[in-house]
Amino acid sequence: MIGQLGIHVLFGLAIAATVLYGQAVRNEVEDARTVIARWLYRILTAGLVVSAGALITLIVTHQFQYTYVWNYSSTELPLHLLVACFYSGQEGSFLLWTLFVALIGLMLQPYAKRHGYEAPVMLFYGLILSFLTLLLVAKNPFAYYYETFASKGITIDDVPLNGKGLNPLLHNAWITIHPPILFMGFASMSVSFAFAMAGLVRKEYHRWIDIALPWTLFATGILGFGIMLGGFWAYETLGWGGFWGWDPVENSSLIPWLVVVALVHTMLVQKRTRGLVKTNMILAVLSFVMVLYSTFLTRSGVLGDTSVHSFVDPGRFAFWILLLFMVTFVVLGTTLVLMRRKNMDVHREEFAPTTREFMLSIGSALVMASAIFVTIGTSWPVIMEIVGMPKVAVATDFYNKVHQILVPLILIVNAISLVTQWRSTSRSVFLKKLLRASAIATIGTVLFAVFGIHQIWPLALGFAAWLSFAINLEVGARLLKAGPAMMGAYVSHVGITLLMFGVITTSMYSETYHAVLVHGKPVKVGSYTLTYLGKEQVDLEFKDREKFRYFIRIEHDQQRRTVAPVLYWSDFNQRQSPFLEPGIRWGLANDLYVSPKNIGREDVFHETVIQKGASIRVPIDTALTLALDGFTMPMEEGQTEDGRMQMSGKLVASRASGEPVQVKARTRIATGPNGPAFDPEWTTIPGTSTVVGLINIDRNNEDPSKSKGTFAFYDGSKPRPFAREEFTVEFSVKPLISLVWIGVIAMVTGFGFSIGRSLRTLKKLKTLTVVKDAPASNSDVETAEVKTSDANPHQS
Amino acid sequence: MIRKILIVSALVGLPSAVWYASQYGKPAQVTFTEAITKATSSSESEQAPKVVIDVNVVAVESEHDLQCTDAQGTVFRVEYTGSAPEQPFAIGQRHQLLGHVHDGTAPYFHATQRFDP
Repeated sequence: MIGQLGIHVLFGLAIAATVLYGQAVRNEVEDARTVIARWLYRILTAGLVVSAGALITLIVTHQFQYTYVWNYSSTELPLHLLVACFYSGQEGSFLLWTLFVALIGLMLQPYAKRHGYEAPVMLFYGLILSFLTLLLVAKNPFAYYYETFASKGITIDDVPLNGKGLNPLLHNAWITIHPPILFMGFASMSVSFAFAMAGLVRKEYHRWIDIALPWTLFATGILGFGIMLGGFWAYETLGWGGFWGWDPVENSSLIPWLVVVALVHTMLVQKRTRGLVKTNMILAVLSFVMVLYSTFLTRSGVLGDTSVHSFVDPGRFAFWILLLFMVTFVVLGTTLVLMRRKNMDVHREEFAPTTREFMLSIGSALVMASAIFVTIGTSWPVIMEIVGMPKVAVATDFYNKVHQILVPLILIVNAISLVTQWRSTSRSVFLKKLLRASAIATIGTVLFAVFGIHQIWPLALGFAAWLSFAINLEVGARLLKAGPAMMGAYVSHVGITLLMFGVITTSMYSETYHAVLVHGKPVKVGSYTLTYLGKEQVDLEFKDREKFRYFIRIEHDQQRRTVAPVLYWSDFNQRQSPFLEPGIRWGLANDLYVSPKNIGREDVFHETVIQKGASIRVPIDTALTLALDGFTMPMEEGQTEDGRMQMSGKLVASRASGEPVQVKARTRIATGPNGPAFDPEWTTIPGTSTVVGLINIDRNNEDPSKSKGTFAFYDGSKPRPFAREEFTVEFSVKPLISLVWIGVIAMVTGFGFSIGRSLRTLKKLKTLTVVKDAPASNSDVETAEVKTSDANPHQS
Repeated sequence: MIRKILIVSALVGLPSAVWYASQYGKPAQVTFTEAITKATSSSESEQAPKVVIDVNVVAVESEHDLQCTDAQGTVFRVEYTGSAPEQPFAIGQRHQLLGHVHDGTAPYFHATQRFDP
């Protein structure tokens, strides 16, 4: 009760802080309202910290009287997974998002105050928090079990002894890292939006750029890192075989990231040229709105069953809040931009095509084109439903083909932007640098062609990546003496090109084999030899599964490595499909990737299915025909001593010459978590050496005449064969996939350098400027700003 | 100049993007047998692809459980979990059903949307 009440109080605090900040916006000097709003905000943040702490405590101490705790945790889970249960459901993940927004706001408050922006920034920030806390009211993580299931007759005394548990797919370390980083990225996207709105309110269209840039860089870096951690998780744990599948959940994080990447570059253009004022306002609004839109797509249930991820319908109330949340900020942003559009036109200037500002604008437009395509593709099922057409997702080829054009173009524009200069570019310098890099790119592309790539798109991507790589490396190396802070952009760009090289090598040079590995028997696949060595049961504490790790030895060039993929069934999904984890041998040059597919036994018994009334030729004695008359009922056969029921297949064996003979193939049936287990009584068919056993009955309840039996045979004159375990796998060799991960690390590191540099520039700028930038005047402030920025001619 | 480039690109690009997406967002119109073939040939980690089947309702067990025939006359079970249709399912009706097959020992069609041709 306290928890639920607390969430309502937090919503009230968010509203109160927002209203007070709203009233303080008009004041030039700080008054009591600002001070009260500030404290209300701090209390709100403290309340959210307490709520989050309380929820974690309830989960860790197994308080199953709470629906959320019951729904997502269980007593068997280790501590790190219990903590991860906090954000495994919708309610908890909304709480995590809200908490991160509030905590960032706590740092933002003094920062904005220092720059004279506290009231307007915190007004919009508070409004965001108001909606998030309202969402928590709708999706309250502190709801009681008896309240949730009151309609099913559950009373306050009915407390479950254990919870439903965490989805087995999430039982790994990445669940503790990936979602918090991704939510941190989502939360930090609010800041540039709040600054842009504050700039519009204050009619200050340039100053907010400098102040918001470090936050925007942080949001871009952290969200990009979170997205690729998700890709790494999918590759390392889920056994998808790749790191990107264009799934709606992946796309929903990618879309705002693409928009904010475009925003960072257009902010740099405005910082240097005072142009793209409206563009930046629109992109700042759009980057945040796309976070909301993506949340709406993946949390409202509108995508239904169009993804491999599950989308739980949040209920009508939460659906409408999500919709209202999104619509409010679209309307608010659009209205403010439209209201101020005339003021923002004061500095319009044309960019010459040979300038850096022109190329950065084109590059941002291309990144935005990517965002638009991904948005259309991800929204396609919703669009189709609205127009009354079949609700289907677009094929992943749609995204691949679009990006086969866009990504090379973006990389080429990135490269060209770095050989151009702000305002004007010397033609000879431009050509010299570009030709040198083009020569390197051509050699690199020819090497790709020599090593077997002959399709146009990977060659085009290769050329673009080499061009961008060469130019970024050259410019970055030149700035090495100035310290790492100067190299941020180049390190990030090099990271992206490395990622692209990884994409090319893995998509073009990967080898994939399907192999059936019989226990102890080496199998040759390509130039590798795989041997299934045996298995080991793990996670014994979980009663919902019998989880095994299967050891596979990989031999190549006299080197031996062992990997251990995992395959198991769990009660969590009623054992409908297995849970898989790949076994990976990591390497800088290549990864050896073993994805499990199936576990069974080798067919040494020549298994054959016979439908009731049908006949077959016995596989080990084709002159012998066997007909299935039917099955005996369990009550006819009685039970075994250990309590198992028995059934028999009534068979008639006949040869071309001779009388048919009747055979009863009996089987003992035990029921277990994986369904019935058949234990055949091996029976010799009279007058032959053929031994038959009934190993499965597929009863057709709707039409018993179509029931089937599976029979196994062996030659009784020889010892009974032993069926060894058979492990079916997909084995891949993924060359240079390490470049993908190294590229991501470089990209994030680059963002780190850029944030540091941006903060230092801002500090320097603050010492030079104390006057507000008035929209209609090209004041000394602007001159000072430009001069400050001019000190760093290679900023991009 | 850049303004013109971007406006023209947007005017041409946006409808093109929608048209291009429509080329990849059409479900195949198949029979039940073809739907099973598609499902078995798709990747093991993926759900069976969404398809549309023209059906004739031959039995209505409940509002979610039907027996239908396709253009080839194959009788198959349909589990319908889409929104409640304005006209309930009735024997003899023809519909287009969007969904995917669940293959296995007793394959059936899991429909999520119904259209009336």
